[in-house]
Amino acid sequence: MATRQNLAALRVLVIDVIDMDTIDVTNLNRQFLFSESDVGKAKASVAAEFVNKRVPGVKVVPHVSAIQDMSDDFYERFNIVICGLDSVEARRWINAKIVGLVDDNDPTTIRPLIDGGTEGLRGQVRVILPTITACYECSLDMIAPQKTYPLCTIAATPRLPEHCIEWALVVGWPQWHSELFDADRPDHMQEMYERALERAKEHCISGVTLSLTQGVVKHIIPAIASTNAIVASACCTEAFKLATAIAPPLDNYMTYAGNDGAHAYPFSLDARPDCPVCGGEALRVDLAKSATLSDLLESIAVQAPKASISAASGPLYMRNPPVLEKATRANLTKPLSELFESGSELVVTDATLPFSLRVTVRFSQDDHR
Amino acid sequence: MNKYDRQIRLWSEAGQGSLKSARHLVLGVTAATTEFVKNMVLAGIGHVTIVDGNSVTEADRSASFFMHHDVDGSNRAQVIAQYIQSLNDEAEVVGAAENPNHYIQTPELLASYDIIITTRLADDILMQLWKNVCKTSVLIQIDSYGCVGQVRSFFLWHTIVDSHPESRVELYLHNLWSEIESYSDSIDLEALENHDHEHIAFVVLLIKALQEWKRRHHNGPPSTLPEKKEFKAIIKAFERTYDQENVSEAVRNAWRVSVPKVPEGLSKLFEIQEGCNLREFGLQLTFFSLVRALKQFVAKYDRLPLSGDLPDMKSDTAGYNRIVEIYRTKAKQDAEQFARVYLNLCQLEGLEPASQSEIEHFCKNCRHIRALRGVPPNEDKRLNLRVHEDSEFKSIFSAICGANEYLYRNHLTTWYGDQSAAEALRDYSAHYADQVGLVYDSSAEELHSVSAFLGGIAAQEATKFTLHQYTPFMHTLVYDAIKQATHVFLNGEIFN
Ligand SMILES: [Zn+2]
Repeated sequence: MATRQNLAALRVLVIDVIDMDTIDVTNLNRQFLFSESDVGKAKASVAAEFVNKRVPGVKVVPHVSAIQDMSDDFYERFNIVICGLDSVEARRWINAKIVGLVDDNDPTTIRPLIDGGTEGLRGQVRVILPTITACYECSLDMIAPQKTYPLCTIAATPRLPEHCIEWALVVGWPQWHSELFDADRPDHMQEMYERALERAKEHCISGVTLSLTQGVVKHIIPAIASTNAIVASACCTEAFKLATAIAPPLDNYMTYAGNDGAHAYPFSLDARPDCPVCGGEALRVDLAKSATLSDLLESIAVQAPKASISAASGPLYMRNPPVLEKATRANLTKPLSELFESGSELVVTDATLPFSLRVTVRFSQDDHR
Repeated sequence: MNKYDRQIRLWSEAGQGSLKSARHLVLGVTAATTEFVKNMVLAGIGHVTIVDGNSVTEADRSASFFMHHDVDGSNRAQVIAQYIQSLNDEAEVVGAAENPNHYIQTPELLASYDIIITTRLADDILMQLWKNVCKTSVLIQIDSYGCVGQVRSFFLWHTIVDSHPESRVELYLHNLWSEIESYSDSIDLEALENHDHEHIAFVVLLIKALQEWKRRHHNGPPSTLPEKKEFKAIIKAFERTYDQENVSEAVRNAWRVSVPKVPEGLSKLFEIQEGCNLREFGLQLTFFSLVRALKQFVAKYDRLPLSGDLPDMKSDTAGYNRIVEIYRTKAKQDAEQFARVYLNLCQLEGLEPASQSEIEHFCKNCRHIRALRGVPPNEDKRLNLRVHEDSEFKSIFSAICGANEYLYRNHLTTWYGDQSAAEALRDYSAHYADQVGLVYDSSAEELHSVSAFLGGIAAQEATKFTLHQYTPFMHTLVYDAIKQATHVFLNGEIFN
């Protein structure tokens, strides 16, 4: 959000802002666009209204929506995309989307993606020039996995208060309720805390508090105004460089750490040629002419376990919605040669993947299988 | 939920309390100092006074988002204070329509602030201010020029009790006490079923291995490489099933049986306070009297107090709980003994003792406490003599100091169209024309995003100074927004 303030002060003319969330009281320690009376309102709308009122000549257009709900047409309208997303999934999605919009014959479709994030007194900023620099997917293995606790520990030998909370969440809740746990419902959270506390007492473990329970079940990441300002402003400086070409952009990653001294350290991540998002080449599959669509799905099950698949002519097999699934189910048993020509490029999507996979299928002349 | 929830998770309720009682003074309104104030007010600072004698101009509005278009002609400090006050009614934000120079020359006006923020002060005047405030405050200057800038901190001493180390775990196995040893002796590894054997905490395995080691060798714990290998082999021999998790944990933690040393920085602090009148440490009196007590504790018990923290480890619940209880009890005893030594010292020296919770907090963190001894602003000049430091950053630093000097001497806020300014800046940093250019090309104007970066860093530093948690950088941090890099010119001493 601080990003928006800087961009506006730099006189960038039109800024569209997407955010599906509403303002929570815990946002206020780092948000100057929101005040206490805004709690419960849409973040995007309040932020846009604030900047529009304050900075003449700048237009901020709010979209209260998930990034995934916006169309390609929408993203194609912009020169630069800046994100401050809170999850790996959302970052993978936007990265794949912006990389996917690149048309090799049209350099204007290379839309720089600037990504910023913070945790406590640390943060990072990266600039992705799709198909030119490393993309988010290229460096996925750099991301520390979320802290998890082995099920056998939480079930049989709890030792830490966190183990008791995880038990109440993972083992307990589904036994007590048919309704899914909703971390935004205070009554749910209170019950989770009480159950975890009860479990902890049974095992003589101290330290379960409501605050810790919230932290564990919501995976709360500490956040402060100053770190957000540092990261957001660096994002804006990069946007400013890209928009004005006064200086080359950051190549391509900067980490900031303020825990022990203060260091901003830029470095360059390498693009991976085999990156499924920006690596370029389509997956090649060779199958016998008589093979069926089911056989094809089986051969790409590693890359996309729940694949839906389309050819240029239209959908071949779709898992959702049910109507379309029913309509395309018959194709599964048809030989591929009835569905498309050899050498066709197909598009594979999968709800578990944040991007589509391009697959080129060639038929071998004889059926030697 | 508390609106400070996301930061209390970092620095605790006690830290939030320190912020709530802090008082900052900001001399001069720029985009950078405005950003600084915004960050501190959102975080819940107790009080900020913003001082500026000028009225809002068109140029201010383009550099600062907080200047609304209907405030031309009003005082800058008051406009900013009023707006930022609206962000958090728990903070007190006051705008004073005064020339900052008036504050700088009036010690009574400066006395009640723990941190004073300045911007673009020439070194002479910075030194003047320093002389008036060094006994009571930390001084932080923020300079932002175009795409470069710097943050500098000046203080006599700064002390840190909670430096947020990765871990406070200390097992003290070299010096077993009866409770932990008899608990370990109550377990007969041989007699256990495999399942139970796999759930014996690694601490017990280490104690048993150490007992075996002592049977074989009559000297201290393993220290040479072959000895360490032998010790690990003793642990490994406990293994019943392949890759047994608790045995692997014991091997990984085998180094913990060595005799823990008093950290070097802490030894130096012991030396520094020795023979001193503790009152000479001024604001850090409490810290250094706790250090003196710690030295006495070490002299008496030949070790530091135990923190009582343990890592999670493969274990059944009851076994882990028992070990946690033993360590916590021991840590509590240590804390009580430490408090006795400390209170005794306070009585002897006629000092007002720290609170019970402060004493406990210090004792728990004693192995990781830190102290920084700063240098005054005029010591900056020494930076120019350090040939090994990064030369590009050094010349940015020189050019910025030159720019501050030039603007101050000529009573200017910009040098737009002023050819002699470039010459003057070059005099300050003779060999680095490019970096002078970075500063000169800015016409002394601020780029908002660069100022926001510097205001963010300054706010982190002010927060660390206020909390006495985390470690501030020493002296001067230079930022180059073209490279997105910072460089710290370290000047002063760190004891850790
Ligand atoms: Zn990639």
